Amino acid sequence: MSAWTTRLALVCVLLGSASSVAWGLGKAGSDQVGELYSIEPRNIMGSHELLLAVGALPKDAFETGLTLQASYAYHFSQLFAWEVVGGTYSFNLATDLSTELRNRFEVQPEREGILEAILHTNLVFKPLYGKIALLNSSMGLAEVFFVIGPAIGFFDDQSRPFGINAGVGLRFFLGRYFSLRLDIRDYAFLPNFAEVDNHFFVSFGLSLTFGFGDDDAEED
Amino acid sequence: MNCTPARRPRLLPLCVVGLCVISTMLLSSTLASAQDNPKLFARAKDALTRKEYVKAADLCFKYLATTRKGAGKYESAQFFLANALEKLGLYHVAVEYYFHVANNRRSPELLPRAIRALEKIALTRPIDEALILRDLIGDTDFGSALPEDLNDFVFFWQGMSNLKRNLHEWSNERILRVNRHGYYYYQALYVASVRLLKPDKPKAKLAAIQAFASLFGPLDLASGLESLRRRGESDSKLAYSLKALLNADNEVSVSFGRLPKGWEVHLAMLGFARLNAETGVLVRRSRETDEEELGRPFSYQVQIGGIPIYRRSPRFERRQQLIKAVATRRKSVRRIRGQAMHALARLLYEQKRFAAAYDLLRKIPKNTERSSELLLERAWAKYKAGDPHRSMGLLFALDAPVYKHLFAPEKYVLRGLIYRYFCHFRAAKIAARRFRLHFAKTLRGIRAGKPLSRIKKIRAAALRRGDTLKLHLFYRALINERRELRSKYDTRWKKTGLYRHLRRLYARKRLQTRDALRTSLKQSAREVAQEMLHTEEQANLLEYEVGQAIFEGVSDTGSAKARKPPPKVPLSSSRVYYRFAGEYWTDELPRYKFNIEDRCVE
Repeated sequence: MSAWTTRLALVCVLLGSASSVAWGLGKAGSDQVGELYSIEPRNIMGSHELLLAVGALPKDAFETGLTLQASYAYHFSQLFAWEVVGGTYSFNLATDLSTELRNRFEVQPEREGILEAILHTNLVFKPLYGKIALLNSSMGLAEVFFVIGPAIGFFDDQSRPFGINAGVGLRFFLGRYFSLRLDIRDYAFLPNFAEVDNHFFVSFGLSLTFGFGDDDAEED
Repeated sequence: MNCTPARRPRLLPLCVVGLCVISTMLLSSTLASAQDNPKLFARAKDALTRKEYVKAADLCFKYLATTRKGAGKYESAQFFLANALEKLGLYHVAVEYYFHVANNRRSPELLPRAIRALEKIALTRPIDEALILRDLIGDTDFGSALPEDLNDFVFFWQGMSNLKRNLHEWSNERILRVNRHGYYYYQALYVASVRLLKPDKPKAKLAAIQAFASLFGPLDLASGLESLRRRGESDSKLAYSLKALLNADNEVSVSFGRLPKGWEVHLAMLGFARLNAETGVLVRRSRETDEEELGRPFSYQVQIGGIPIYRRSPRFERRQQLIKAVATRRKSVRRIRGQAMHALARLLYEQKRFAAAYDLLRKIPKNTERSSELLLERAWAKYKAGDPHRSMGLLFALDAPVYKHLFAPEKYVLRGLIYRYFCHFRAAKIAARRFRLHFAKTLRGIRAGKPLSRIKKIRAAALRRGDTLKLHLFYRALINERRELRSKYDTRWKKTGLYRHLRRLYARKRLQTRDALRTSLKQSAREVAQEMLHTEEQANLLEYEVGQAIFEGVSDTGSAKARKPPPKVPLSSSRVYYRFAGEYWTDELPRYKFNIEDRCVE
């Protein structure tokens, strides 16, 4: 599980480096006597967001989970949002490995509690937003955001460990109301506050936004 | 032996008679075949129905070549040939055949179809305006053979033809027959508003204002006047102008002597403003297809530069009619709306209402007016309205590759003015020098007396102006279509002679258009060169002023007062700030802002 954490950290570092390169390029393009900006309205995101997503929660070599996730978020501004509540339910599936161990070696793995559901609330930070050219034929809008917040895990052995989760997400806007989201998160549960139980999570979903304010974004 | 001499004279007449009979029979059979060939016509029609346009065109031409002109199906064959050629993208020759059908007017059932086809091509493509709009539509009396909407097309162009010949009253007589809805009405109102601005003799001016008042309608004029009165603006120039157009019973009755000074501009602005408001709502509503929705109430407010003049809510029985009339030619109505908005913005600029002009320029519907022109005009309006940062941003947008061929010498001067405003004297001088560098060859050419239409940049700019542009586009279309004809139909139409015939038509028209284009180009090139020299003068003046300012103390220039700096770029806001990184995105161009450092206080 720690390998996944390392990978997540690597993704964050890469994204950070990319943004600093972009910043540097921007500076290089500025004129000596001033700076040129294209100022565009950013009114594509409403205040409220509902998400429905499917995902994967690979647990260990013996179990994997297919998940269904739903969440509600409130967007304070273009930079910050609060994922007020989010819940994930995992449909756990045994891998072939446990069957093979039982059949060939007549052994059973030592059984630990299996994660069945997660409840979380997160602070969302959205520093990257921009346009992308799709196959040189059309233009799309995308956003990269980071989340961090507390979470509670629901295990099948009735334990309810508290933990934190952090991750990165990529959003492609499909229009004013809908967007596609790819989320990568790591849930670090702290059972008894003695050890860390990491769970890597990937989900892909559709989100609906509404509650658009007045369109006062016209820069003129 | 004696018989021989006696027989000769008898045989000769017999032979002659025989020959005559045979030749008469041959001739009559030839004539019979030339009179009509129903089978050939049926095959041509059949091919057209099956959408085999190449074959249909070939068969139609074969029929026309072998049939007498008065034959029953002759005009139908011409019409089908035109139809097939239009479908194949050979618009000019299609227009020529539609012209024959409409000009001969022998088949009443084909006449409206030919006129409709011509109208459709005229609205969407470059067309031989002199042949179709002036000679055919403008000079022909079609009687009552046309439906209502086509009558509008005819009346409008007949009015325009008369106007070009300075027959103002005749022009009014025709234009006022146009129905008060649909594209041609808005086009007529636009022309009437422009006519007001044209300096002319009093008689022509009177005719122009009569046309304007009648087209605008007494009800709308009275509404405008009433609205102004209610707001206590009964002594404004617009109110006085409106009063001079109406009598006590609110009927159109022009009192020319009562018009206040500057009435032309105020009434023209009202005309453009109404076009903007009315067509705006109708274009939006015309997208609805539900009959019930079409009857739903709507209203529009006529505003001049953000100041409301009057509101109009069409009555129930008029709503559907208004919307449906716009729906049939939505694109053209949208285009005329763009033109009206542009004209109104220019008048507002002339009236020194820069912020209002800018606001209107920004709202002009996309692809109705040239974006480069709009950007430059917006830059001027912003500069005059006191926002040089935004103005400079728009000027930077004009450097984008998409505007590579733009002829806008003014942009260097305006850039220099803005740099000077912020005391960036070196940058201001560089802007003026860039102008000279960019147009060095052009200016040398003008001074050397080189024919203006041969100077590359002058020629390119002249080809984009008014009537020259129309002729240029038509000439280019002719060349492209001829190329298409040669590459695709060379062998397929060779046998019947259609290929050779069409080539001849294209060649003849190309020569005619080339001559007309040359004449028009000369005139436009002269205008462009004048503007060029005028801008050079401005650049010289700018350089001189900058040179002076460098050596003057800041306090002497009086510009040492602290100006409001541009707002700082926030970390996050409802607007996203894309810092320019050397790459132009077309959608960003109208949204550039250049935050210039103010050096005057230093």
